[in-house]
Amino acid sequence: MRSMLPRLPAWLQRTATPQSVAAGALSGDAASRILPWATALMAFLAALALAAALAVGEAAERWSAGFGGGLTVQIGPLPAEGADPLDRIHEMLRATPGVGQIDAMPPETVDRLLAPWLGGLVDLEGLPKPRFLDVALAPGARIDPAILEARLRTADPDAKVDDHEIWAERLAGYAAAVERTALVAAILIGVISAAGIGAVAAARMAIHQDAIRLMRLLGATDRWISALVARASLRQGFLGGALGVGLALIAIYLVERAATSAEGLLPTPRLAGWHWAILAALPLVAGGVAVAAARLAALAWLRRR
Amino acid sequence: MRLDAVSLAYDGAPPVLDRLTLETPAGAFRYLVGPSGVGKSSLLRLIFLDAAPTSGTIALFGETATGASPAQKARLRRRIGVVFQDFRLLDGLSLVDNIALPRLIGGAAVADARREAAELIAWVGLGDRIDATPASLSGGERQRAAIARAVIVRPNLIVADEPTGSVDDDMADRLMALFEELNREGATVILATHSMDLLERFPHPAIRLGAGRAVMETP
Ligand SMILES: Nc1ncnc2c1ncn2[C@@H]1O[C@H](COP(=O)(O)OP(=O)(O)OP(=O)(O)O)[C@@H](O)[C@H]1O
Ligand SMILES: [Mg+2]
Repeated sequence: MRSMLPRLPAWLQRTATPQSVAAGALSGDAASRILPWATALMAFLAALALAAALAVGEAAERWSAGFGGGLTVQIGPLPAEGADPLDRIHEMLRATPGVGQIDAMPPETVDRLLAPWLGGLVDLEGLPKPRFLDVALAPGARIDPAILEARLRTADPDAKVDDHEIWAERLAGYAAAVERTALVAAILIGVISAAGIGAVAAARMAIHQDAIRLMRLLGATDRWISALVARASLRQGFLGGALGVGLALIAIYLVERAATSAEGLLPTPRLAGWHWAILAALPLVAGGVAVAAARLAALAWLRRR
Repeated sequence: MRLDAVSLAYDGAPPVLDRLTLETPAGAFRYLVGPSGVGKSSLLRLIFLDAAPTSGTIALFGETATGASPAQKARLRRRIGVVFQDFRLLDGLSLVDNIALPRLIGGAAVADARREAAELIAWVGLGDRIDATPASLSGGERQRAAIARAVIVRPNLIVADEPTGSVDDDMADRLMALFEELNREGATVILATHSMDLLERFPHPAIRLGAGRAVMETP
């Protein structure tokens, strides 16, 4: 009798389930062969979109934190004649409630910031240059930059007050828009993939309708039959998802490395540790989406006959 | 098994079965005979719940099957072993898994189902073809495989459509002995055939179908 048994390795016998064996009757069609590749492409695109959303969100947070809680006061160059308004401005600022530390920006820093704009064409040394004061605010303090600017102009008509808050807000708005767009793109890709996987599952049911009809006559329920299709989709969705996300992770890593070498010129979006974890979990999500889509499509197909 | 004024008409055509009433007691062995095209396979399809009657009701094992829920039908079907006239083996599965399939659908462990299938396959003389694909089997070999699949769950009702049409006399005797043995153990058997020779060698009452009507004949 032993020689009659199917020649399967013992471990395979143990892991085989009734459904994994029966699923063999629904395999081997062209529709199911393209599924892993289509899933891989979709997972690749979804991972890139998601990475963009995460990285921009992270960068915006870092930039805003750098901006937050301060003002920049710009005053005119040291006048050729007459009193320097700098001391008067200092006094007025110190008298303003909520103002904390006041730091004058060193002239070298001003030169460094101006240099890229003026190129090597002008000798910065002799040029009259505006001066900048970095004004920190006490925690929780709010100062209306327009009112402060109007007051400082009584001392120096060229005085300007720049509210970091506005830049932080604009930046946050921009980042949120990029994030939203990328997230919507990732979700759309997921929905389109789910629809495609469902269509493939329905096509597979149609291709194997004779086998499905037979299984029904042998007493299989719709739930049981739909699980056969879902199970194949799970494997294909997971493998396709893993391949796509793997390629995306390599692509993201290369982009990050390129961005790091350009550091300083560009603010660099960077992925935090948990972002990598989210991306690495995408194949599981792809597998889950594939199972749900295939199962629902298969059940809908079965209910129609 | 009870059929109550059952009619069946395929789209547009005159009815194949016309208000047929028929009762077969549990544990009976019945042949189903009649000229080709009279509706034997159609009647069997109604019995194994592949088709619903145009009118009338069918009851199996004391339960009304006509209009039953899908879950209830699935449960009833698991108690029926069917030998299809066209065998219906699945090319995506090896011979042993084809035979094991009804047990797998019933939720049996794979190793158990395969062991039982292997024993049955040996019994019908296909022991050396256990890993073959159904497509590589001859007509007679497929018929034997179809019979093995029909009996593996020890069904309460065996519905066989021309189950010995493609095998030689020796194998036919062997398969008939299998049906009679299962019948002795309590299964109801309904066997459609054209072979008068079979009726003589294995005498059992016959249901003769003619012009949509059924007549009982006792040998
Ligand atoms: N699916 C179908 N659609 C339309 N007509 C059908 C269908 N199946 C069978 N018929 C018709 O119903 C009639 C009975 O067919 P059936 O297969 O039940 O006969 P049978 O008695 O089993 O014949 P045989 O002895 O040749 O197997 C035939 O006229 C056949 O053409
Ligand atoms: Mg027939």
